[in-house]
This record gives sequence, C-alpha cells and structure tokens, in this order.
Amino acid sequence: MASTSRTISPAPPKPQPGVPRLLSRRTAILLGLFVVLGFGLLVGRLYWLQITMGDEYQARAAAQQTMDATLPALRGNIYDATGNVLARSVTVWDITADPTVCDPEGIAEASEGLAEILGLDADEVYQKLSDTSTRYKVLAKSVDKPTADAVKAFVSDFDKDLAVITTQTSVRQYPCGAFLASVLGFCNADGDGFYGLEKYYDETLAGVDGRTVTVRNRWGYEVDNDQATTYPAEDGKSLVLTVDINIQSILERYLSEAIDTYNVQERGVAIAMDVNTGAVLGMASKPDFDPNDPYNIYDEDLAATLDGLDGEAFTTAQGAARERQWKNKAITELYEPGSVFKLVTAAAALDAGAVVPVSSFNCPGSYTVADRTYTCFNHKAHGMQTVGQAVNNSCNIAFIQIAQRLGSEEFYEYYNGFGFREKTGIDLPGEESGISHSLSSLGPVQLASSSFGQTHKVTPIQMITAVSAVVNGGYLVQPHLVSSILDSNGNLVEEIDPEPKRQVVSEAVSSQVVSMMEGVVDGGSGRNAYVAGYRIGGKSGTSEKLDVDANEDGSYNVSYSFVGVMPVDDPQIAVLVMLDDVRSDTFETSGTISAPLVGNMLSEIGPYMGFEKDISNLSGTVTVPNLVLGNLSSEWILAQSTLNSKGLDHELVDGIGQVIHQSPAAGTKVPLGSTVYLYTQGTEDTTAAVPDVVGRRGEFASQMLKAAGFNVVVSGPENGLVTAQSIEKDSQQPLGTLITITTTDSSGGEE
Amino acid sequence: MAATAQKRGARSAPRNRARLRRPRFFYRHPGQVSPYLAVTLLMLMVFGLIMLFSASYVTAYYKHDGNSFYYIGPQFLYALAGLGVAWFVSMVDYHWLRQWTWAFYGVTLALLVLVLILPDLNGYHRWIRLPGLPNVQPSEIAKFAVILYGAHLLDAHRRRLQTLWYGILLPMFFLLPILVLLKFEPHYSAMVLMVCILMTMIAVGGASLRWLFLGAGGVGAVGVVFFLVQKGYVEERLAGWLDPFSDILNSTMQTAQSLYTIASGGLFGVGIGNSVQKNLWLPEAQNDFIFAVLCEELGFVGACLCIGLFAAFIIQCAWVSMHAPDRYGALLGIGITAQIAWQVFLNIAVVTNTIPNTGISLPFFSSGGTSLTMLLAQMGVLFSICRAGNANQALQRQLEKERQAADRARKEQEQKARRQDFFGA
Repeated sequence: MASTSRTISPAPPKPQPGVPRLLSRRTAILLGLFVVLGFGLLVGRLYWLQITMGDEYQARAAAQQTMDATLPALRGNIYDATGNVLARSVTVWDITADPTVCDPEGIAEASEGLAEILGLDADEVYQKLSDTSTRYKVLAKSVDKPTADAVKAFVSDFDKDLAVITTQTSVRQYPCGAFLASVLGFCNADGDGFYGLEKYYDETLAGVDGRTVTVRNRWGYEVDNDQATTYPAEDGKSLVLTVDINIQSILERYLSEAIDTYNVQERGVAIAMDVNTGAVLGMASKPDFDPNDPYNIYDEDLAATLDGLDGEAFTTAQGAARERQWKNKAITELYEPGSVFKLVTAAAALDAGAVVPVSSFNCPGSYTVADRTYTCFNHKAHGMQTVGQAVNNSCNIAFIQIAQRLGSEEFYEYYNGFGFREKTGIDLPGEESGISHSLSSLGPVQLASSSFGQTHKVTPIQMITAVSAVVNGGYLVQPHLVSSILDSNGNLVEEIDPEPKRQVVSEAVSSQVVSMMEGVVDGGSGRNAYVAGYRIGGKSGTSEKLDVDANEDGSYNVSYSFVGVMPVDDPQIAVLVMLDDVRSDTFETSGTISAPLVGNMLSEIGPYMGFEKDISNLSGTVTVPNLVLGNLSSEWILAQSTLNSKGLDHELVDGIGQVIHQSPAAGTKVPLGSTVYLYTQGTEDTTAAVPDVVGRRGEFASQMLKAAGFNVVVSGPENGLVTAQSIEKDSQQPLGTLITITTTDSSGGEE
Repeated sequence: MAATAQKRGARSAPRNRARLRRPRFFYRHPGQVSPYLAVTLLMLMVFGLIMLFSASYVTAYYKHDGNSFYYIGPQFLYALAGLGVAWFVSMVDYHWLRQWTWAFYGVTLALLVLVLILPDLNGYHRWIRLPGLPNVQPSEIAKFAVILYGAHLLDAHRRRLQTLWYGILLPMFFLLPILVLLKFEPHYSAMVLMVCILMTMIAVGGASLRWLFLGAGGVGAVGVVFFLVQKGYVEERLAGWLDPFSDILNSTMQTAQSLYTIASGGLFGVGIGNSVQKNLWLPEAQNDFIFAVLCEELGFVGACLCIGLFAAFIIQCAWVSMHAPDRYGALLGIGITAQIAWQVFLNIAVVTNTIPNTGISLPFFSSGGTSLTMLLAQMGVLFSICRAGNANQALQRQLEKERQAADRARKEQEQKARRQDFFGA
C-alpha cells in the first residue's frame, strides 16, 4: 500500500507491485480445476451424447424430422362396356393442423381467415386449433385445389406460427349414383375397396402408392435440401365391365317397379348374361344404395326404425340394415329355384339318355313317393305328357318320374356338373355356393323334391349360369363382370375372356330343351314373356319358402322367378329375375309376376342388342287392344305384356299402377311397332307439339314424329319425300296420336 | 440494515480512496494488447458469427417474414461496434472506472427496478424495450456492476479479507438487492451466474479458506431453501433434467431436442450449415441452444475444438489478470474472466443436460445485442488491464535493464578502479 501512494509523484514512472502471490496462486488453481474438471466434464458429456448414445438419439431425431409422405396413387376408374364412367377418383386436399406449434396469440385471427376460406364456423376452427393435446387435427377434408391453394397462401402470409398443412388425397365418385351399386361396391374411408368390384379388384384399381422421404421442419414444411428421395406412384388400373349401362338400367328400372307393384318384401334380383361367354350384361340387386354415401340407410322404413333405437340395439340394427343394402343378392343370397330348375332336370335326363323328348309321363293329380304325396299347382291333373309338355305345364309329378328314371346318382352328378355345388367364380367377393343334398342324403323324397327345385338352395348367379349351359350347347361358362383391364393411360393390359369350365350336356340336348322353353313362352305358362317378332324361350319358377315359418293362414311366403332366353334359334342372352317374398294380394303366379317382368325387359333389351324381329308372320296393321279393363290385366306390367305380344311398343307416361287411360284408344288400327302411351294416374292426355316433317324423307320424318311422341302411318313409298302430314305442324296433340304422312316417289332418292 | 452496512462500507472506503491518485482517463503510455488474446477473441467472434448465421437463418426466415438475416445482421453490426468499443475502452485506464463503481451500481439497481415496471414480454420482465432503440437487458449490465464493486471491495479491504465480514459477507451483501430484483423478473440463470462470478472473485481475492467453504455452504443452503420455496417450478425442472424425454412436447422439449441435435452430429458432424434440427425443431437455436447446432454441424471434434478455443481464451484472460499491474486490476480481470468462463460452462452444461435447464447464453455465439456489446466492452477493460500489465512489465524490464546496466557500469568502474589501483600502484 505504501508503494502505491508513492506513485502519485508524476515522473519518473515507477513499476507497480503486480499481483500478490496468494491471488495468483488461487487463480491458477481455480483455473486449472475449472478447465480440467469443468471442461473435462463437458467433453465427457459430449462424448456420451454424440458417440455413445449418438445412434439412438440420432434415430429418434430422424424419426421426427423425416416426413415419409405418401404420393397417393390415383385409383383406377370403372367403365361400363360402352365406355361410361361408373366409378372414378378425383384428387382433393385435406387441411390439417398441428395445434402444438401454432402461436396461441395468432389462433383467433387465423381461425377467422381459415374459416372463411374453408366455409366453416370460425369458433369451430378456433376450438380445433386450440386443442394442443394432439398434433394432428383435421380442419377440412376433400377440398378442391383452389381452396387448398388459398389455404396455403393464407398460411404462408400469416405472421405468426401457424402449422396448417394441405395434404393431397383422392375421393371416389360414382357418377351414376345408386346404379349397379351392389356390383360396384364402394371404398372405405381409407380409400380401400370394401365391397363389390372395388374390393375384388382392389389391388388392380389401387395401384401402388409412391413415397417421398423428405426432411421437414417442426411446422411440417419441407426443408430444402437434396436429400429428398421420391418413389413415384403407379396409378391404378381401370376396369372395363361387361355390364352395359343401357341393359343395366332396363333391369334396374323394371326390377324396382316390379318390387313396388308386387310388394316384394325381401329382395329382388335381375341378371342378364351372355349365355355363350358368361359375360354379365347387367346385374341388379335390390334393395341397394348409393355408393357415394353407402352408410346412409336408404330403406325409409328401416331408417325410421333405426331412429327409434339407441345403444347396442341401434348398432346391431344399423349394421344389419347396411348389410342388407350392401349385399349383392345375386351372388350372396340363396333361394330355392323352384320350377326353373326343371330345365336342369330335363336336360340331365335327356343327356343321360334316361328319357327322350317324346317319352311320356302321366300326371294323375297326385303322386306318392315313400311317405310323401306330391301334387301340381292347384292340384291340377295334367294327364299324359311328353317331356316338352311337362316343361310347358310345369308338371311336378312328371318331373318326379323323370328324376326317378335318371336316378339319384346321375341326378347328383348332373347337379354337380351344372355347378350347383361350387361357386361360379364370378369376380365378386362374398359369393356363396349354395346348400344341397349330398349323394348319401339324396333319398327318394329328396330326389323327388329336388327334381322341381325344392329342398336345395342356389344363388341366382348359379341358376342363370346353369340355364346358360342348358341353352348354349351344354357349356358351363364362367360368369364374369370385367372384360378388360386398362392401365392409367388407357392401354389394354389384360383381356378377360374365360374359357367355359366344361360341357355338361350335349348340343343336341341343349337345343331340345331350348325348343321346350320356347313352348313355355309361346302360349304356355310363360306367355306373358312373349314379345311379338322375337323367339323367346323361358321357364317360370315359384317356390314356397318352406324353411321360413308359415304365415297365420298356413301359407308360406313365396319367391317367384323366371328365366328368359333369346333368340331361341341361336341363344345369345339369358335374363333371370327373382322376387323373394312377394306379398301381393292380387298376383299369385309366376306367369303374372315374373314372366311379364322378363318379357318387358326383353322387349327393350332385344332391340338394343340388335336382335332382328321376324315380322313375316305378323300383320302390318294392329288393332290397339283395350288395356283399360279395371282388372288384373290392366296392371301396367301385364298391359305392357299384352302390347308386347301384339307387336306394339309401350310407354308409361306417369308411373306404374293400373292403366286407366291409353292413347291411341282401343280399336285404333295402327302400324306394327307403334307405341301405346299408358296412363296410370290421370285420364287426361299429355300433349306434344307436332313437328314439321313436310319435305323430309319418309324414314327420317317417321323418326322425328316418333321421337316427338306420335305414331306414324306412311302413305306412299317408305322413304319418299313427305308432301303432307295429316296433322298440322306445331299443333299440340295427345301423345300417341296417329299421324299420316303422305310421300311421293321422288327422283332425288340420293339427296 | 442495508443502510448501516453501506455506511460501514463507505466509512472504510474513503481511507483507501484518499490514497488513490486522481485517475487519468487515457493511458499516457499504453502498453501492448496481447496479440494472442486479440487473435483468440477474433477467432471466437468469427466462429460465433458464422455459427449464429447457420443456426438462426431458418428461425429468422420462418418467424420474421422470410428475413434470414434477422438475427445475424444486427449481431454483425453489434460485433463491429463492440470491437470499436473494446478498442476504445482498452485505451482507458481501468482505474478510472473505479470511481464510478457505486454510481454504476446505483444505475444498475435503477434499471433493474425500471424493467420491473415496464410491460412484460411473455411474462418475463427482462428487457427494456424503447421504440427506436435496441432492446436492453439490465441483467447483462448488472453482471458488470457486480464485477466492478467486487473488485473494488476486495481490493479496498485487502487486509481484512480473512474476516468473514469483509472477506465474504460484505461483497455478498451488495449482491442481495440485485438478486431480489432479478428474482422478480424472473431471471434465475442471471442470479446463478452472478453468484458464481462473485464467489470466484471472493475465492481468489484471499478470503480465508475456512470462511470460504463455510460461505460456499451458506450460499448453497440459501440456494436450496430458495428453490424449495419455488417447489413446483423447480420440481418440474428437476424431473425434466432426470428424464429429458418425459414431456417431450412441452416442458422438456428444449432439452430433448437439444440432445437430439447434439447426438445428430456424431463424430464429425453433418457439415456447417447442414443442421436439420435447426429447422424449428430446436427452440432458441439462435440463442441459448446455439452450441447444440454447432455440435450437430461440426460433430464431437468441432465441439471439442470450440471448447478448446474457449479454454485457450479463458486461460489467456486469466493470464492477463494474473499479470495485472495491481491487485485491483487482477480482481477486475478475474471477474470478467469468471463471467465468460461460467457462462460458457453453464451454457454447454445446460445444452448437454449436464445441469437442469436454465437460460444462459453462450458468449460471442448467442444472438443478443446487449450481451455482446457488454461482453466486448468488458473485453476492452481486460485489454486495458493487459495494456497496463504489459506497460508495467515493460517498465520493470527497462528498469531491470537500467539497473543491470548501472551494475555493469559500476562493476566496470570498480574493475577500472582496481586495475588503476593495481597498475597505478
């Protein structure tokens, strides 16, 4: 201290004392301890973290950093045979948020902005963004590109932390709605095929998702670097169906109308199949659903019942109700085929040589096998019949005898041969294979019952496949729905044309049975399936549902079916309809229920398929029959059958029901092929404006007038120039009004 | 109580101060700044700025309107200005500062009170934010106030340091108001840091080892009691320390992410600029956790190099302090050195989860204007001590040389005289 005070003297400078040794020593010791122990500890700690634990922590870090983004493969489309889109996938965007990394101070403002873009409630968005218990909150699903872009722009312009991201995904659309639904099926929420073709061909349709592995930041944004690895998606393939939407819509329309008309409780099925290839041209199954919203219950009664339930009862009932509408009743549900099965028995017996077409069988009205007595419908005694007549009469007793001649072993063999004990292998999931007798259990009674289609159960697809074999020359074909598979660019990848599985009966037998079937429609029990000009074969079937408890009056619920085949001289297509549990008060034979249904379908399918009408035996002018009779025959479907059989077309103007008015009126003489307009709700004619056809060619003029809703008589050469029309142009006339056009044989034939 | 203590301190101070010459502002003959220390400092700063840019640009881009330079830009300017300040301060005789010790202490207390009155930011009263002016963190200033008065007291009462009162209690007493004010901000890490700095100064200052260990024990006990009062908060911190992955989305997020970041570096790191964790995964990547980014990008090797650089820097700072011309300079230098050393240690210890998480920035690396400016100004003081020390040594060497020359001359004279005696006889 003394030395310091001396330094006050200005000059010369004296050296200062320096640092005391104690201080220096303690500093040196502390410094040494600090550097060696302190920094040593830190280095050791770093070694532990970076080298020892490095891999483990690094893996955890990588797990949070890398975003393994799926590049969703676009699911393939489904087209009908004519190229219409039945199912397609559309690219959309999901908007999601990670609330844990959103700035709480910015949420309120962000919620309002996002809600406006997304069309949501701002409070709701605010709730979602505030829920920091999760890192994944869905704000909106399936928005379109402009909306997604607007969200992106909003987020990137937002000045506070806002972890909201858009994810590309796709939704499945079914442009036709509730159409072919049980065949198409639908996809679940994950976009995987869940029912129908969507499920069966899921792998084909789905394609292979691609991936991009990118590094992302906490907000989910990609980090710009060169480490991103992309495996491109391979889009799904498309299916082209054998189903033709025109045929399908004919089936669906008539089936729905028939279900209403006949009060069908359980289900209705209609299948149209190419008998030679097994290609399914149409397959309708009711009740059904709209695959765009498959979880909704479309049966109003069921939906109302569900509304009254809750808890487990609701869940169970809802599940059952969905199952009911989703199921493809043509392949998953069984029925007793009834008399339609007689075609199989007949073909088998003929092929086995047990009978010949002219073999005769007596029907005394009742017939006892072992302890059971069988009768025919209405206890009728058919007397002596050939095989053909037995088919025509649908005589149970004759068929019991035919089966007895065949013997249970042969019967069993043919039963197998026609594919009733196996799945048809149609390209749909959930197919059933039927319930049938084993050979050992096929005793005399079972054989007798089986001969006319009772005591064993089949699926509608099995039945129509067997009938196809009966009529196509004996070949058991493979029913299928997909004709070809296209890649995402529309190139053909695979053509599906399965070979027949086997020949069950000879071609000769086949044609014998076909001609017997023609007899059924041509004046037999299936005459309501007759369409003038076409040669149609068919067979009806009625089966009592003996396995379901009888009604109070002792009767059993009944299912009605009918199979129609055309053209008889070279069978091309078969149509099978089946209405399960018909509760109609007024109709109780397949002849008035399922036969006219198939007839009406064929009357439209035939022309669409381009089958030529043979009108050589038909008169060119037809007298319009009276359809307003006030009895059963006035029911729209029978009225239409009547018109079919006369060679007239028909159009229901105002829906199904009893015909109470018609145009043209009964007794009017009209050309063959004219259309009779049927009214079931009101007796007032609907009118249309008469087009001006003067100066046009006759054929074109006829088409114009028919399209406008009128019938046409051509006076003069068929395709001559129209010089006059019997009803003034532009005047309003009732639909169906007969208009005569006068033509002259002009020289300018090739205009 | 506080008033009496201050009076007693004040009573003893004038006797010492009276003997002090009137301090000049600039050195008349400034000595050399150690080129090694200067170069080490520049290396640290360049290293720090590069790391700060690398660690901060992502956060800056996402949180500040796409401005990647939001942190590095001002930091670079602060660094340049700070170097200017350091150079200027190095020319100032550090004794000049001593007369402002209590004024500086008073201003610091005022600022610490002011910051409590001003509106908070996220619940913390840490920054004085005046429009148009850079944000000021009074706790950074307070550290220097502590160093200043610590050096002053420990020098003024050098002869009485063996007593408990002058050796330990008196310096600690002046820390109390600062700690209390910091507690209200709250800013625990600054409290811890200041206790560490002052304890270091007391330890080297010459307090008796007996009282020193007792004092350390006392501070420890006070610390434990203090934290027990804050039970919930501390418990959470401790639980998070023991299992840093227990609440990875909330309370232990910083620590867990820091460990991920460090581990991702491995031995050699992912390369400068390539950190993935800095992409918003690691919170405060530009600030308290910048060292983790360094670890990720440069690996264990780079982290060791950085620690080595800091060690070299701290050793040189200590060397400068130990070669100060006087005791006051040595204490001042040791205070500054201790601040940097403790900050480095505590920061890296927190980042590596060696100690429970508390917010301490890494000197010359972490973003922060007040911190960097204060640091560089303090470095200026250290340089000033270095100059004085070198000047003193140069003077001693010169005097030694002169003395030796005089000795030689005298010896020659004597030899000459002996020869003359001999030959002349």
